[in-house]
Amino acid sequence: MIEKVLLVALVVLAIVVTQSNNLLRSLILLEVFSLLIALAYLLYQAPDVALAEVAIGLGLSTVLYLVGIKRIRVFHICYVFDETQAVRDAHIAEVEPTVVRPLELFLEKRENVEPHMAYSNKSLKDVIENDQPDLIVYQGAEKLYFIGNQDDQVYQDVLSSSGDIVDGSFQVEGISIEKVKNDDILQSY
Amino acid sequence: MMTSSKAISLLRLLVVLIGASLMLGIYSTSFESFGTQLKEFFTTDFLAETGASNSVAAIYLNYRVYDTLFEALMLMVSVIEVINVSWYKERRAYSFVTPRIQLHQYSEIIIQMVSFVYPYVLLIGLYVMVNGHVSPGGGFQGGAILATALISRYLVNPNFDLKIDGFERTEKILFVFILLTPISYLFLQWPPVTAVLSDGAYMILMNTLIGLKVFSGLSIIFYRFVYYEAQE
Repeated sequence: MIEKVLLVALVVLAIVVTQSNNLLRSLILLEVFSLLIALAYLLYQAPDVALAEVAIGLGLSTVLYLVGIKRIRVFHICYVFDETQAVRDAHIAEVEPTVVRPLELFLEKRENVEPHMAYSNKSLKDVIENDQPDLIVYQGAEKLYFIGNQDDQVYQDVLSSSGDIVDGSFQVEGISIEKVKNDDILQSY
Repeated sequence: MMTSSKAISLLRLLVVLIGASLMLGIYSTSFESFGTQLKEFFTTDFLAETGASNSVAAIYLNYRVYDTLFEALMLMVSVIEVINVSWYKERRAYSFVTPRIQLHQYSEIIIQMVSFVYPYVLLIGLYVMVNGHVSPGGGFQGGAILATALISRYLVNPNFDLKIDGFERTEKILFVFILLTPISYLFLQWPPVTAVLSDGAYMILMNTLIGLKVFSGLSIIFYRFVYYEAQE
């Protein structure tokens, strides 16, 4: 009985590992897969193979993958809300399905970078000086502003495919981060 | 980076499922049965013939020791290949200030727990290696566990202050001894010098040699990969 459950779990886990978008998640699930298959070897009365699988699959192979995955670039995104009110969960839940989730999916699948979201309600200058993100998403009155470095390849890709990422109901405009720092260009929006 | 559309990935999944069910169906409905002569040859009376209580150790150290020699050779060739592919230049920074030890952002929990567990991992590795002919384990498993101890040392202290030359030299010398021992004891059947050199001692010696060789090889592979990655 436990053997059948284990085998089915192994197959399901293998499918999830290959179909997942996030690299770190696939890696940890691969570790769990290695552990479960060592248990399966033990149930089939092969303790030597189980020992070898545990020592190599968990000790060597996982740490090698973790060290290799450090080269993946982390892309910091800051979503700046209106200054007057505190950021609550309801606000985040509003913007999440339309802007945040498609942006994260795009970055994970097309650009192969790891997105990290942050939400803030400070002024733009504060965010740029203290946080230094790679991309700032600012919701103006009518448009959505993507603010980032002009030389950043990932930012340019995000700008050029912003029509695919965001719904048709938003208009997206890209502004360089230098302009926002120097000119206070968004004070009037 | 191009990604395939949803239809193609669904088709891929379908092909995988069809192939897997085909193979499983053919395997489970085949009624051709093979005899178990090899299994009986290996598993009857292996204790008296080889002196090992673990039948796997009896197989890879006595009945099929030829395969073990080639497996050791294969490990050494893969280590040579890793060294060849991942060449690196030692960076010598000319500075009047002595360089600080690299401070890393690893969590304190990992450092403390790994430091606590480290000597026990070494002990378990040595136990599994030396007791390979009596309990499950053996040279390869013990060597892998010892390599895990070295990897956990990297997790705690990621400074590359280990000289790999010692490991490389050790591995080659060990390979020569791994070749010499079965050839002289099993193939040529030189009579042992004293009665102490029995089957059990041969097993322990072979397991120790294989374990140390695997330990050196895996450590070299790991350090080469990690050091090469650290060069930006």
